[in-house]
Amino acid sequence: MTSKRLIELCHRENRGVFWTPTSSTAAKKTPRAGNEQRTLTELDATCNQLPEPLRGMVQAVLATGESLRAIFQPDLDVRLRYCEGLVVLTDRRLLAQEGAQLRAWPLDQVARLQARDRGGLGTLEAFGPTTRLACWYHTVGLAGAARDLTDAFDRLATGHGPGEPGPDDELAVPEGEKPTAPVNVRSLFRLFRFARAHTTALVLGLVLTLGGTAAGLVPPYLTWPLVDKVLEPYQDHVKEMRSAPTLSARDVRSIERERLAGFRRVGFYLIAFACASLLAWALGWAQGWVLAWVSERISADLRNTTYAHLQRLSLDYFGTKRTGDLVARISNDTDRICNFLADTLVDFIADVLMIVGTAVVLISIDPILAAATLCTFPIIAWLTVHLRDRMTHGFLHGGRAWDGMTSLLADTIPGIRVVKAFAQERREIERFRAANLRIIAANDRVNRVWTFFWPAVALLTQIGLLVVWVVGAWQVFSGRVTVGVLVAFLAYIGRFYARLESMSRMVTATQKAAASSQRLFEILDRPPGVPEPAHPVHPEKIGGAIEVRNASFRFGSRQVIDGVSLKVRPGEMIGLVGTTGAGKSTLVNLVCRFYDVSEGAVLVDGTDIRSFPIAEYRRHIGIVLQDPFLFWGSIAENIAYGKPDATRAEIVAAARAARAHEFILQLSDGYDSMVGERGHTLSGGERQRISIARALLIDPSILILDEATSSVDTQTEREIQEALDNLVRGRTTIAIAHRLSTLHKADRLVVLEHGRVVEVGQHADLLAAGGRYAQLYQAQMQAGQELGSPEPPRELPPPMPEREGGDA
Amino acid sequence: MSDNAATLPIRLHHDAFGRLVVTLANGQSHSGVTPVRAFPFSAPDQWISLCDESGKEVLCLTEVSELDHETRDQLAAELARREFIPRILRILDVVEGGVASQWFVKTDRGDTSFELPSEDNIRRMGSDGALLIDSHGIRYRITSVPQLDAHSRRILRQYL
Repeated sequence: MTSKRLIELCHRENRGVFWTPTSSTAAKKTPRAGNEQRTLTELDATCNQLPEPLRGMVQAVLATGESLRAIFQPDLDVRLRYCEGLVVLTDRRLLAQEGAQLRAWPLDQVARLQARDRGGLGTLEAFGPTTRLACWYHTVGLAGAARDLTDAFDRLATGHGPGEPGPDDELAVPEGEKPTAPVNVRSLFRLFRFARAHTTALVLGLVLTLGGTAAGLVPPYLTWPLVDKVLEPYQDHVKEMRSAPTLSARDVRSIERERLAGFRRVGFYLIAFACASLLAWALGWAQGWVLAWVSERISADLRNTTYAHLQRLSLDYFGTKRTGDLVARISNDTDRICNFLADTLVDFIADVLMIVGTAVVLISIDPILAAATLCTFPIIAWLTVHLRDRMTHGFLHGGRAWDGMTSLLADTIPGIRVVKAFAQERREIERFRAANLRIIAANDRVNRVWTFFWPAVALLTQIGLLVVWVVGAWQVFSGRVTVGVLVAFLAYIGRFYARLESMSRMVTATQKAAASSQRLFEILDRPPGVPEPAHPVHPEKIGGAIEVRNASFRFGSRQVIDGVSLKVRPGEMIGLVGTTGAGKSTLVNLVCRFYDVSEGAVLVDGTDIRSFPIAEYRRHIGIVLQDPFLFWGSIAENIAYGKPDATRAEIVAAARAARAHEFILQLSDGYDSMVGERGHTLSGGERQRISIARALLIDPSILILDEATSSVDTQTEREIQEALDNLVRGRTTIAIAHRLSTLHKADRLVVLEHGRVVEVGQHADLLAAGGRYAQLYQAQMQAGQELGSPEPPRELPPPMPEREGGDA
Repeated sequence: MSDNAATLPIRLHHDAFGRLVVTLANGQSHSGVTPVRAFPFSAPDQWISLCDESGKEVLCLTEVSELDHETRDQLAAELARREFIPRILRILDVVEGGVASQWFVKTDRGDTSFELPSEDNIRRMGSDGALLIDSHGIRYRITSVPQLDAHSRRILRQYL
């Protein structure tokens, strides 16, 4: 989506507009040169799209040569009632709508713009040197736009020209927040993308279906000549012989001969009957097998594609989804689609062909009788469609009631301690009973419908049969059709209604499969959050110089990282310090490129990391997380996760350096021990050391330690610390820690607060400066003393002695 | 930590208390050592570590074949004395009982039966081997599933 289109959308939805000259197309790189010119023109275009009175106002007020920098449309007035407003930032002035006019403040009068939001209400304030100049209110949905205005202002104030920050900006309108469309059968057609690879088999399957259907139509057809040409004449002959006892011997012989000839024909028809049935069976089998084969492959393709796509999605996607839901989509939904393709769809095609075929045969035999046979068809079709709708709704209600009950269970069973502690068992039982009542009510409704439906179809089938008998008998009496035709019709009509019945079952299956494929495409249509570069630069060897250049990052409307700039020399160790939510982990995630910066850039060895292929770049990064994740597999496999072809010598060497070798030897199966299996559950410190070995094995140039020791006790921390010291040596390291003692080896400490760097320096200097770091440090010291730790707080004695050197 | 070139050749013997004593090339000796296979399944004859009583590694032998015959035999005997992993030669019968199942097998150490707590306790080893862990944690190996008789294979197929 181009920026222009985005702006149009914003307008159409009558939302506030944000637009800064730097924003460009989402997730696509635009060359920085020439960017300025283009975006400024687009900003003018934005202005042109403002509703008429506003546009006139803005244009009338702009001086020649004055250029727009940002437009913001607050949607509340000072009494917090919905009201469209306008705030415009140009390179000279801040303009705001007041009544029918624009009020202007020259920029040198405006000291600061501040955007805040709380509880759904956002405020944008403009401050002069001594007073507040103005205040605008908006709903929280516009918070991002408000911040863009303040950002544009900050850039003007700091003297950066437009187009200064990063080449690639995030869209402000979060994608995937469109309202979910109702279940759409059209998504089923999109499955053909996956079917294309198996066209031959599908066509073969369809041909077999056609053949099978045609063969299935033959046996009833044969009853016609069987009755008319064999049984009837035979009966006639018998009658003839009985009624005419005076027949000559010659006549008797000739009749006898004819009877025998007739009997031979019985054999022929019966054999043909059997052959046709056999053929229909064989074709049905082949068709079933071919289509099952295809659908199995299509659903495997679907699973593979979805999983591969899922792996490429950025971390924030997983942050917003429940794991169970994603698992269900890849397993259950593909399975349902597979069933739909193999059974329901083929059945449906066969049913339609059979019904059409039957109708054609019936009409060709006798149109009047055919009309009689088909007369109940429209009624059944109408009834099916009509009741299906009600049933689908009923099933949906029932499903929701069921969901309600299961979520009640999911709630209370893990929380059983709370329930018991507050003696609320009786109330929970009541709640459960109420949920069950809702299920009963919903199901009663749907049961009423379907218990009516199937007997009604059966009744209509009987009526159809009756009509055929009546019309058929009349026709036979009047000599227009033979008994054989009537028998054939009766044989067909049974099949006809059976097919009709199974077709009506198709509707729910289709609805379900459509819902499933929609859920799958919801994943597939989501663009990977971190796009691969169009013109990748292949890093040969990464030196490890990191530069974070004026980086900002926003989660929805929340500004997590706000203009952070930081340079790290190769081999330097940086400690990130700050309170929870200060943006430490996010900053590290930006360096790892789990997310892309909203503004600014992260450079490694002077190259924007967005121009490296993601996998190649990450190969140079080692990460040790707070809660080390070990995959199901042997310890050796877990250590070699980042380098599957590692030799045993490399694995052992990494484990030794991570201080893991000896405890691994104590396990019953050594390096071949399965992790996660009973009896081999490892302690937190052991798991952490395995994950350190894992990071060591890939020999990364850049190392990220995200709270690597915060989930373990001090003793274990000491053991891990030794392993970490080995790991850190000679690598650019960014370490996050709550416990400041972990950072004693850091060359510099960077203190973050509310997404901004507030202090940088060495421990002693920062402590002496008495700033934010000193406060954090004092707080930890105090906490240590209050806990009454017998030893003096280990937390960072300024010149840290090598006291962890002892054997663990 | 250990440099094989420098520490080989080594000598092994038992002291008066029956403890295993290793004498390194530099004349240093450690008593009470235990040989441990670091990769008991994937590389049983490489990476054998000699640990002392506190679990600290004294020496790591990456290639047992570099040892002289006598030491190698001693080491093999020592390892054999410490390892109890019966090799299943034939599965006689399996009696299902809910989640757990009772297995009657013929092993290289004689016929036995054991309880397998759940299907998770069977896992593949390498391309065609398998490992079973019973309710007491005793491990049973199958070196090659395809080389078992048809009856045993049929039983295993339900689990693997």
